[in-house]
Formats: sequence, structure tokens, C-alpha cells
Amino acid sequence: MDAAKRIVLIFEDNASIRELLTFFFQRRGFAVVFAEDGTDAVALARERKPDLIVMDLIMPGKDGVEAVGDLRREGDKTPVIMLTSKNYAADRERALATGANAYLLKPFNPLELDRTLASLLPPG
Amino acid sequence: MSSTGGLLHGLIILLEARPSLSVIVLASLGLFWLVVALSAYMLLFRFYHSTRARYRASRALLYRPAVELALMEESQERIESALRPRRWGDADVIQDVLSEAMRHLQGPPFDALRTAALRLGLVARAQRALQARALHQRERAMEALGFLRVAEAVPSLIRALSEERMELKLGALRALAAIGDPAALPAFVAAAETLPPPLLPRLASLALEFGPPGRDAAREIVNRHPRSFPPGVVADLLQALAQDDGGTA
Repeated sequence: MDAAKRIVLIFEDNASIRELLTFFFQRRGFAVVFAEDGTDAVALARERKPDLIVMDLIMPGKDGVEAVGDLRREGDKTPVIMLTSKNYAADRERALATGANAYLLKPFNPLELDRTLASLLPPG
Repeated sequence: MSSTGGLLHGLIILLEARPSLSVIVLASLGLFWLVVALSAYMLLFRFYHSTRARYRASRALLYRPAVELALMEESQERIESALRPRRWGDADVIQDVLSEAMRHLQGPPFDALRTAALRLGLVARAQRALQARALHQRERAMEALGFLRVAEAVPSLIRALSEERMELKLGALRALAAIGDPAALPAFVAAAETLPPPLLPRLASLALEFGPPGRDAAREIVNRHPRSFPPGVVADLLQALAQDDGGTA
């Protein structure tokens, strides 16, 4: 892995979405690491030291909000983008209150994801 | 019980008849070859389907770059060129590649892929496939028309709601919800009369995908079939309705 590249850690259990996100982030100069559930979020974040985390809300094992809660309790301040198909205000509020930095809906819009990246990360 | 009793009775008659050794041997041989033939058929069936799946996966790899070009916001000509069928029979594969990508995208890449699908005639193809004999072809056609948001397909999809098979009914409902034309909402409410009760919450959720026009349809479905909506499900739907009333997430 190129040491100069920023790392994005993607928690997503759908293979097609992982493929699209992988292409999206690789085109923007990120090295992509992915996991299919949030159970080992803390350990993975500690091991890989990502610059950004993209988290699905609904996953096997631990859900995205619980995983973000675990990260924040451990003092991890990595920006987290929640990417989910759940369009309810209550889920959004819960995710943001737990420590997610942004809450984006699926199907994902690359333009919106670009804008969110620009607001969360300094230019790479 | 009656079939078991019948079998036992038949066995008893057979034993009392005391068939000759040659009859027993012939019957055993016949049974043996029947099992061999069935096993061979099953193996060939599995081999055919796994080979077909591998072939389609390998063909799909040729067309996935079109999705990457759309994500890179390349020109429409390049995207369409990447989607042109290279071999007879690839149109099906291209449709699958597009459906799978468009299911997860919105914004400019979605629009570019949709335009490409329209120009390559995939929409017309999917509409023809609604009349296909094979169940899976009709199902995939409905899915494609939904992802492609083909408003012209709404009347055909409403007609498809009268299909006997539940998976086709549900496919038509999902496609209509994806297209989002409010003209389909009366058909949604009518579909509640033909769906089994456990599917009615799903129907009401799909009605909400139409946005504000779907709220009334969802309420009507809930009011007409209250027993199909236990408290937890009603709470979720009310949350979704409040979401629509209150604005964006």
C-alpha cells in the first residue's frame, strides 16, 4: 500500500456497493480497506489507522451506530460517514448523536459524497 | 395417513403375491437405473447452471467499465460505446450490469447509465420481455424497467399486477414504486385485496416510496386492513409518514 495514500475503511456487507465505493475512493487517491460487519470496528480502526470511515447502518453482527459508539468511546476521532438506505429522522439523529459526522442515503450520489469528503477532510 | 396406509396395503399384497425372483431382480434393476438417470439429470442441471453463471459473470466483466466511466463522468459516447453488445446474447448481461449498478447509484452517473440504456434499446427489450414465457425473464424485465424509471412501462406493470405468481406481483409493485408515477397508486391500493396479509406492510412501505402522493395510499391500505399492521409495524409507517410531513432526513 502506497504510504502517501489516505486510507478509507469501509464497513459494507453488499458486494456491489463495496465495488462502487472502492472504485470511487481509489479514483480519489484513497487506499481502500473494507469489512463486512461492525463487530471488529475498534480493532480494525486501531490496526489500519484510517483517515476516513464509511459505515453502513444495517450489517450482520454489530450495526453501524453501535460500531460508531464503540469507536467514540475508545477516543477514536476518525471522521465517520454513515451510508444507509434508512431515511428516517430518528435513525439520522441517533447516528449523529452517537458520533457520526455525516449521514448519507443510499443509493449513493457521488456528487454528494464528494461534497461531504471536502467538508470532512483537508484536500489530499 | 391414507397414502401411507395405501402403501402398506400395496406392500402387503405384493408380499402375499410372492413375486418370483426374476421379477424382484428386474424391479430392482429398474429402480437402480431410475436413480442413476435422476442423478445424472441433476448433475447435468447443476453443471449447466453453474457453467452458465460463470459465463455470464465473465461476460459482465466486459461491460463493468461502462459503470466506471459513468462514475468518472466521462462522455455519454464513451459510456454507450462501452455498453455496445460484443456478442449475440450479451444484451441480457448488459441489462443485469446496468440494473445492479443503477440500484445503488443516483445523480449524474445514474442519469448517464439510464440514457445509455434508453439509447441502446434496452428499455424496449425489457418491455417486450414482460410478455416472455419464462418467469425469471418477466421478473428481470420488471426489475430493469423499475431501475430505468421507465414511465411508459407503468400501464404494462399495472397489468402485471394480475399475475398469479406472487414474485411477479411483488416485482411489478417494486418496479412501480421505483418509477414513482402517482398514476399507479390506485393499483397499489387495489393490490392489497389480492396480497396475503403478511405482505401488506411491505405494500404500504412501497406506497410511501412515491413520496407525498403515496401517503394517502399507505393510509388507505392501513385503514382497510388494520389486522395486518401490528403495533410495531404501524409505528414504523407512522414514522415514515411523519418523515414525509416533516421534510427531509
